[in-house]
Amino acid sequence: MNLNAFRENAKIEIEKVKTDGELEKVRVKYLGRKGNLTEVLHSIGDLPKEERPEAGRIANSIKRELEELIKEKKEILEEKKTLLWKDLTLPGRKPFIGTLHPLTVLGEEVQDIFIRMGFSVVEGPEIETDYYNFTALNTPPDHPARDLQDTFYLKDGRLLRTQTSPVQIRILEKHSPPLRIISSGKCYRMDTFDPSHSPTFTQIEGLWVDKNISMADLFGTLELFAKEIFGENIKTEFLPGYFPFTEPSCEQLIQCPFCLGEGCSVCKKKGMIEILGAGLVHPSILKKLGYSEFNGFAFGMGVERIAMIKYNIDDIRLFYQNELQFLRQFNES
Amino acid sequence: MRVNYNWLSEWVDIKFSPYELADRLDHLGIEVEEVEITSDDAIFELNIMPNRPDLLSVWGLSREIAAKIGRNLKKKIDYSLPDLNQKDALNLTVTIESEEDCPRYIASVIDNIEVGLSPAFISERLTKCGIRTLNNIVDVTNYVLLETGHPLHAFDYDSISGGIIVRRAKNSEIIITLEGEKKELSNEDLVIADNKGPIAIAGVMGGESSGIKDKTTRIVLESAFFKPSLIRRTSRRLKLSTESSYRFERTADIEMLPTASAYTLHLLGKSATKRTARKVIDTNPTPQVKKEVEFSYKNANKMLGKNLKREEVDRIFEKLGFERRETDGSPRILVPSYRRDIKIEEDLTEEIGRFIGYNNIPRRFTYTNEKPINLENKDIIKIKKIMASLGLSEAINIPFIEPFWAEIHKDEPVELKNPMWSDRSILRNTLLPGLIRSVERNLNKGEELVQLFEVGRVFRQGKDEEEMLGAVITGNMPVKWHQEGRPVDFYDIKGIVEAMLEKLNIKDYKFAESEESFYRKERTQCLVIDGTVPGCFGLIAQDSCKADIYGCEFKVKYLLGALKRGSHFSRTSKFPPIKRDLSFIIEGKTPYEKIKNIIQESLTHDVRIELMDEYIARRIGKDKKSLTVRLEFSHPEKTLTDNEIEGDIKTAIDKLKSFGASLRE
Ligand SMILES: [Zn+2]
Repeated sequence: MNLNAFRENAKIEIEKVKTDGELEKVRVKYLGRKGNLTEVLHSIGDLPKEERPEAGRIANSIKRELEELIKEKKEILEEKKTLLWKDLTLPGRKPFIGTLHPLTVLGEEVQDIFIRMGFSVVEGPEIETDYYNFTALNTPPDHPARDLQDTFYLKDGRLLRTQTSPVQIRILEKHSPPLRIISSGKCYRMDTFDPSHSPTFTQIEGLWVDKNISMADLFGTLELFAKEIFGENIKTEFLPGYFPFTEPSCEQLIQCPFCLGEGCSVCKKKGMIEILGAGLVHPSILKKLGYSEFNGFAFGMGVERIAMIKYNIDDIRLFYQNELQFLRQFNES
Repeated sequence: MRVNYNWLSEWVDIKFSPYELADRLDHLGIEVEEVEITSDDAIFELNIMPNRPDLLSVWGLSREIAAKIGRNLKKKIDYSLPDLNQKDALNLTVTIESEEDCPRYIASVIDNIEVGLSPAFISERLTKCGIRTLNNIVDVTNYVLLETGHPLHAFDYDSISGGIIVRRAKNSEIIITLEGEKKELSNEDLVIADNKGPIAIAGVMGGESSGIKDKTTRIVLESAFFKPSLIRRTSRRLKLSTESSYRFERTADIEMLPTASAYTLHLLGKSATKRTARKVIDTNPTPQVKKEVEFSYKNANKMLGKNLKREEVDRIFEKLGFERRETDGSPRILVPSYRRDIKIEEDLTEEIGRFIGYNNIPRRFTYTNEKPINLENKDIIKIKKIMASLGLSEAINIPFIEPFWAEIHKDEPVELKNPMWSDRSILRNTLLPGLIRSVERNLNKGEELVQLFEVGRVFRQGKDEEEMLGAVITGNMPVKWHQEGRPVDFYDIKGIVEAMLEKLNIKDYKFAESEESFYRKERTQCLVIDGTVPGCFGLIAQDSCKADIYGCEFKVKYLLGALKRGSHFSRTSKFPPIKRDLSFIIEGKTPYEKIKNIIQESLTHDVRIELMDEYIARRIGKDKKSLTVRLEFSHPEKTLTDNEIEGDIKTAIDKLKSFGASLRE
């Protein structure tokens, strides 16, 4: 066997070694009592006499060289077992983290609940006509209910929708019942900008039109919703309310989460707090659209209001000031 | 409205505390805003629904409470007007110009009046209910208003010249109100006038000239019904909302007129005069009010989801004073005149629901197997999530902005007629002003790096409202133990745009020169997708900004239009690519993009070209820059050898040289 080839092979194998075990195997293979080198040394006896001393010398030097390499490798392997000391308490290299707006997060949550209940998501314009925003919703001009919604008018005579309800009319004009829809978006009311008022707010509107819809369906659906959003044990109740476009009308209340029903300033000592308005769709609306044989229910809620209750926020302006200190607190998305 | 507990107790036997009463009122839909407990009484602040003017009185509220708790009213107001044929009747005429505007008007004349202070029981109650006391005449009319819900007005008889005329005002006609304010009227307003001019704004407020004075000895008491929409419009236009207009615009009870008059006369007899009326005029003694409503027990039960017996329903109607009349088997319900809100059977059903209690209605939910009509996809939220994943936080702004922003875009603005803030008088035509406002707020709060985005609609006259995506970044990339800080720059916003496009799976796009005047022209580019320009990005050109703000704004419609749904997998090469770096010096203003494209086009292999370094320094040469690009050659079926790419490398170098590039070693 060629000694040089032997030496090169051994060196390559030592180089490739990654563990102590492998290194030991390589050592045994080349330098062990039954190893290749022993064979080589034995075969020296077969050489012509004058070549023997030289061959023996080379073989021995290979042996020493390989022993040295193995020793070095051993040290390297040993070193790899313990890493250089680093201060592991230094902060990590964190990528930037952005957040979704709490109104988006909550709006999605609400929409998803209704989507699971079979509702479709639809949209409508923010600039509306008086007809869709009021008249078609049973609120003709001079109706006192218009007082509840101080309206922003545009110079061209149109207005900013005060509620998402016009979407109901727009959808029913295009799709015939039965249907279940929800729609969410910005609404506008001429209000002061103070801790409890904002000129814009986000409303989520729902509509379910079918035959034989009753108050029981309305209450059942909304109770299910409240449990999904505020937890299985939330106490809800319904009180009579008034909206021109529903009859009968109601308001849904949940147990005040701030005082757990004991009564506090938020709930005006009532222990319950209003979360939305609803009712059976006023028959005159469906009749005008040509659906006299149908009935249905509708509801509308302010996402800000739900968010304020759910996240314990006491100033509605925070939603529209976009301070990162505020936004960063809403990471669930 | 404000009302006190003791007054209600005079009408109905309330056997429970003010708080318990408040709870019952709440459950009837009469919202109690506040309960104020005093030493001997309690005052309720009520929020009455606009369709229930009948509840704007002690009598009406008592009726409702009595029905709820199953008791009868303790008190009655059933005075009637005297039948007058007196010879010494005082002279008065009433002329109604339009019966539509004023279907009924009762005027009573009383003399021997002594104007003075009101008896204690009147002034005390008025004060508790939040009404200022004036004199024994006006106070009595207010007292009757609170108790019966019907507004009355007293004129000084001797200040009226000729008879009373109820007519539309003439345009530009002037009246000085009781409060001494000058109001200009129009043909839209109804007035009470004499032959000299208006003496009261009908249903809203009296005039100064005909008001009760200390020396008044004879009065005309008005009890009328005015068309609600007229009163409402006048009250809005003149910005005059009074206890009276509030009730008239919600519809008064036309049958209450004589009772309210007679009751007032009765109380005046106790407090201000020894004589009874000297003349009474009623323009419409038997008004016709439609009161019958068709009703079906079956429909009511269906609507409520209940199974109520007829007797239960009848009992509720009876308590409410609704009479049942049955002709050929179909019941019709006769509704009292004060319940003008009840017009259809659904209204009656609501009454049943209110009185059995909404909490006694079952709860039910049924799933549907109908196909959703159009599940408008959730792409908007997808975009929002992408932006958040890139480190930006979502902002939502109030979309009112200053008009100059529209000028920059040369958009026709959508102007508000009644802006909330006079300087922010248009609807946003771009999201950027709101975002800039938010940036400034955050910088003032000491934030070092502000990265915000917003998805929302913009508005332009004559165009559909359009969903936009806007983003802004400003400040400094923070100093960290592992990195140096630096101001954000153009390439940061561009990188965000590129990453967003990548996450949206949009591949066929390019950036082009932008002429968007919103940005500084040296620092802006626009995005081009398939020949359309969804929007631009760059350094926002606003002198008012105190920091450099980089922004972008895109039409969501175009982004979503280009979005490729579903990723397609194409087999990646198993063979590692060969990389070659080329460094060269080139004329400083040669666009990298151009160099890259030209090299790319001329090569035969699949090559990915990436910029490794850009270096500008005096020693390279004036107006020169040094670039290092990496060419990454790959082949689907084999590992390329140096020889195989030699040709392409040479082509690349030749191309570079054609640009005047000199290769660095
Ligand atoms: Zn509470």
